[in-house]
Parts: sequence; structure tokens; C-alpha cells
Amino acid sequence: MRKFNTGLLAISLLASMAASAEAQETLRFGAPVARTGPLADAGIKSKQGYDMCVTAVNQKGGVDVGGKKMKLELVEYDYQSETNRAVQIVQRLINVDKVPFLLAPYGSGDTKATAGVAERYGVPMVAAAAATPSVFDQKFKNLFGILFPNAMITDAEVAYYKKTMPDVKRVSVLALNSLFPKAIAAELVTSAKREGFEILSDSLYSPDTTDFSNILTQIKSQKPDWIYATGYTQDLILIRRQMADLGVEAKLVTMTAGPSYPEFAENVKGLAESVTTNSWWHQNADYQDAFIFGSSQKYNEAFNATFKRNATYLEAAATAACQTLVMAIEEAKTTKADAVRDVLRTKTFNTFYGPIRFSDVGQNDFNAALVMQIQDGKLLVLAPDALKQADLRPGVPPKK
Amino acid sequence: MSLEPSSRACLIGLALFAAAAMLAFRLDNYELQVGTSVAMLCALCLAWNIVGGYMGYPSLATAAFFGIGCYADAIAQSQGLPIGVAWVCAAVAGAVAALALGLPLLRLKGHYFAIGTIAALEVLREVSNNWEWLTGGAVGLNLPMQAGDPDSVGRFFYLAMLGLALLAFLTTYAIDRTRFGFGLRCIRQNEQAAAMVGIDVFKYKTAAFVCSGALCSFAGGIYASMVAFIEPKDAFSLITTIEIPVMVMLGGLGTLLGPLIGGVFYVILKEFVWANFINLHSGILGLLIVAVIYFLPAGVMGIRPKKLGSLWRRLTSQRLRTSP
Repeated sequence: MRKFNTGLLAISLLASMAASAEAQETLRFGAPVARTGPLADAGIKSKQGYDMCVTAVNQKGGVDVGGKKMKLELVEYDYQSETNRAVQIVQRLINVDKVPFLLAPYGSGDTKATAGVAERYGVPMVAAAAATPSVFDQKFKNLFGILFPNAMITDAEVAYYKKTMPDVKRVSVLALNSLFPKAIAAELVTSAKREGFEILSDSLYSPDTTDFSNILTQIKSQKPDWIYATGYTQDLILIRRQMADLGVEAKLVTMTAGPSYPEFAENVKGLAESVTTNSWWHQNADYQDAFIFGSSQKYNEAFNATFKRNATYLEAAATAACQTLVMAIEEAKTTKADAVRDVLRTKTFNTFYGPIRFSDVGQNDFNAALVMQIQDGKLLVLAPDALKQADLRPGVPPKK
Repeated sequence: MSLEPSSRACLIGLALFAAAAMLAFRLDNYELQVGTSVAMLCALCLAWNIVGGYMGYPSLATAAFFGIGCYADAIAQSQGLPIGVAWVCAAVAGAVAALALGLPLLRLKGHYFAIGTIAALEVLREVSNNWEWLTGGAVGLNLPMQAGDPDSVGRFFYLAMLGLALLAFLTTYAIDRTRFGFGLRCIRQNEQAAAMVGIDVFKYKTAAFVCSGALCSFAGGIYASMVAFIEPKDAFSLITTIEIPVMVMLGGLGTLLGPLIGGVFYVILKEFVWANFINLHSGILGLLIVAVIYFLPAGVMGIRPKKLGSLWRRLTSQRLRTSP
């Protein structure tokens, strides 16, 4: 028995020596991910985005921290789309897993609540999916947002339609009563009023609404030139179908952000034709990325190879959140929070997602808003001119 | 000297609280955060137990009062009131809301009462979503961050929540021991009969509802201060309102220790299922709850070691007999 034990000891010693020879130090990013609950759809997309970053960085040999290569690892837990749980998980990530950096959860409210914890510990946190400036209104030192503010999107849309369709004057706005849709609808109203559009109505619908006939009939009677609807993709699918049932037509129908995800066109089929939308990112906006992916197009190809579909701005922003952190750490040559935070504050990061530059409240303010339209089943870029793939086709449904 | 069962339960409860309070200086911040959540759930369970357990009214308004507490605390602090005063404001707001809601709702019974309370929750969520100048609407409200290092802040909220759970526990004990609790039990058994023996049924019911509402709102106040940001979907959560009665049922309805045991048991069960069955956890948790309630209708508190022993003997002897 003793001999057996000695043998075992020798083997385990050898094994541990081998392990230490090969061992590479790991750098861990913590992330609460909504894998279940109402935000699961988007949460899982963010997770895919993070995975893209982690795989690519490790393929390159890891994170170069002052000449030492560290393996990147994502420590993630499901927060079940519950705020209390997200807060608990961030506490766990900081205290138990001891992660030096965090990626924010999907929901804007959850981002705000967890950012409070990160701020208390001084752990930098990058948010991939919060675009509403109110998320950043507490001026936390440790919260950074990849998506640029809503107003940049609505300004770009209003300017483009004013130029290309001068006869469009009267707008009806319909938004889900939730943090993001409500905020972007409010920005649209502000942008449109400033440019001389007439706002016929600015209405809200409650979460889980399935029957929009009342509100759509009302909108129909206003005879708007432009209908602007925003909410979750499922809501927008229902709205587009019920518009067709009720014969609601307009020169311009814009939906945020549903049509930028493939699910929208897959569900409404032909009804998606000529619906316009916007996006924070699209692979056709061919940004160059010397760090890992090469360019937006190449990022999308890599994404497609792994997940068998195109990346949307959501996954791209998640990848960019992780990539920006890695770039900041390499630039700072240390994993110390203070140094990395300083780099995040001051540097512009050129990524496949576009240039990222954090403002003094911590939100990316580099404007690269895209105006897009579904034409013959394909999502094409209308503006800015540099990335244009097609001209605007007026009329929803399209006139034969 | 032998103690009455309720005094014995009270002593056990107090010992548990004392142990939990001492842990405040040993746990790390993550454990403190989990402890705070458990203490909050226990406080909510104890509060619900007054109405749902002792009085037998299936209330689904827990999250309604919790949400009112969150907002009352946030609004009071935004007016510059200190945190302790804001919590008292939260409790008072909960009591007032419970009185206002109780007057119409407590005239309903059984399922009608349950539906009425859930409607109150839905209405309050919509109100908070739309009353923008007061609640911030869907954008939510910021609260001042509690100053101090993470360790002391974590300990502060843990002890605050534990203190509230203790308050709820002592309230329950007082109710259990007094004429008031006796009246509530009579109401649970037969409301007409209770009225006939001279219990002012409506007054008793309203008092219990107010007491429960104030405790829930108090918990909401502490929670909002801890998270430092509050929005309608979090404050008026449908999940919370349904989970709380389930926890009390798991522990034992209308008992002093049941809500405490149920709360802790449920959290452990949920963590276990969640850690092991990430994609199916809701379904498996649901089935487990159904199984526990089916086999243990009186909850964990209903388990009698003697009965378990005889059940075990019966099962094993059968197995012996059937084995070849």
C-alpha cells in the first residue's frame, strides 16, 4: 500500500511540474449574462459576442501585459434577467472569483444597478448594450459604454429623410413603455421637431401588449407620412402584421431596432419590404481593425463560421466591449484598474466595430449611425454616403 | 420546566438570528450579499405569513408593497432625508397603501382576493411606469450611493435587513401569542363564526394587512437604498409576489418558524437547481415545488420525525417482503 502511495505521489508531483511549466497566467473578465428570463434572447447574443473576442484573443496567444502573455477567460453566470440577482453575481465575481474587470449585463436598468457595485469596488466595467444616456447619468468613474447615444441615431435618420424625401412632413411615433424604446422615441421627437417635422402623435404601449389595433387605427386616421415604431422585436413583428391587416400605409415606416435582426424579416416575410431601420453597426461599414479581426467584414465572416448567421450590432458591440478592455490593458501594460481606467478615458480605440472613444461620462461618442432599409429581403445601408449600398425606396407597402 | 411550543420556536428563532448577526463579521462580501437577499426574503415571508398564513387570505400583493417601499425610500432620499428616516417613510407609505387597498380588497375572499391583489400590483407597476415626474417612469430613479468601503456597506445592509427580519419575526411572535392572532386564526377557519363570537372581523383583517404591508415596504426601502437604482420592473416584480407564498408553504403556513425555514430552504433549492440544470431550472424547480407541497402539505414544519420513522419502516419492510 505504501509503495502505491509513493507512486501516486510521484505521479502527481510530475503532473504538477508539467502543468506549471506549461501554465500560462489567466486574465479573467467577469460577466453576468441573461441566459434565462425575458432578456435571454439578447443575453445569449451578447455571450456569443464575448466568446468571439475571447477565442480570437487566445488564438493570438493571449493578452500581452507588458511582455507577458496571459490567457483570457470569461467567468460568466446567468442572472436570470433579475436585477437583484445581477447585483449578487457582480458581488460574487468581484469577491469570490476576484475578476479585475467586468462586462455589464444586457438590460439598461441592470447595467445601472450593477455599475453601482463596480463603482464601489473601483472595478472598470464595459457595457455593450446600453445606449441611453440616462444609464451614464451618475457619472461613475468605472462605467464605459460601447454604443453611442440614441440621439446620434435619430439625428442621422431625421437628417437623411429630410434630404431624400422632402415631402415627408407628418410623423406618428409609437414606443414601448420601457427604458430604451421610450428614450429613443423621445430623441426622435426632439430631432424631428428641430428639423421642422410635425409630430401627429407620440404614444406609448405597455409591455406584453399583443393587440395594437386600437392604436394603429388611431394612427391610420392621422394619415402620417412617416410612422416610427420602437420596441422589442416581437412587438414590432406584431405591429407590422397588424398594420397590414388594418391597411395602415405610409411613405416611410421606420422600426427600431427589430429589422436589423434577421428574426424580423424571417417572421413577417414580404411585409418587411421597404421598412427602414437604423443600426449602431453593420458589417458593411468596413472599419479596419489592426488588433484582431482585421475588419468589420472579416469579423462577420468569423462570426458566420462559428454561429452560421450574420452578426448584428448587439454581438459586435459585445465583442468590441471585450476587445476594448483587452486593448486598454495591453496599452497600460498592467492589469491594475487605475492605469487601465486612465487608458480607457483618454484613448481612441480603432476596432472592427468602428472607432471607440469614451466621453467624460463614459459613453462612446464617436458617431457612426447607420440608416438602413430592407430591400428585396436584404438589409442595406442607405446612409452615411461613404457606406451607401442603395437608394431609399419610398412607400410601405411598396407601390407596384 | 417545559416551554410552550411557540415560546420554544421563538427561542430557536432568536438563536438563529443571533448566530446570523455574529456571522456579519466573518462572511465575505459576496456571502453578505447572499445573506442580505435571504434576510430580505425571510422578512417578506414573515410579512406575508401574517395575512396568508394566520389569516388565510392568499395575498399576491407582497411585491406591490415592496415596490411602494422602494419608491417611497427613493423619493424621500431625493428630498434630502437621511437613510433611516427614508426607511421609516417607506414603512409608513406601505401602511397607508395597505389601508387604502385593504378597504376594498379585504371584502373579497379566496381566489377573488388573490386576483384583486395581483391586479393592484399590475396597476401600481403601470402607475410607476407612467407617473414620470415622481417616479422617473421607465427610466427609473437614482438613489444616493451609501458612502464607505464595500465591506462596511455590505455589513450595514446585511445587518439592516437582518434587523428587519427580526422585527417581522417578533411581530409574528406577538401576533401568535395575543388575542389578535387568535382572532386571525378564527377568521381563517370560519369568518362568520368568528364574527359571531364577537371578533370585529373587518378591523382585524385590515390591521393584519396594514401590518404586513408596512413590513414589506420597509424591506423595499432597504433594498432600494442598497441597489441605489430603482425601476418599475424590478420594484413591482411578479416573480417575487409569487415566490414568497411558495416559500412560506414550503416552510409551513401560519407558523412562527415556517417562513424562516421556507425562505432559506427555497433559496438553497433554487441555487442547487440553478447550478445543476442551467437550461431547465425553471421547470425542474417548479416540479420540485409541486412535489414538496404534494408530499408535505404542511411544509417542512409539518414533518414529524416519528411519522417519518414509521413511514420508512413501512417502506423498508415492504421491500423486504417483496424481495425474493
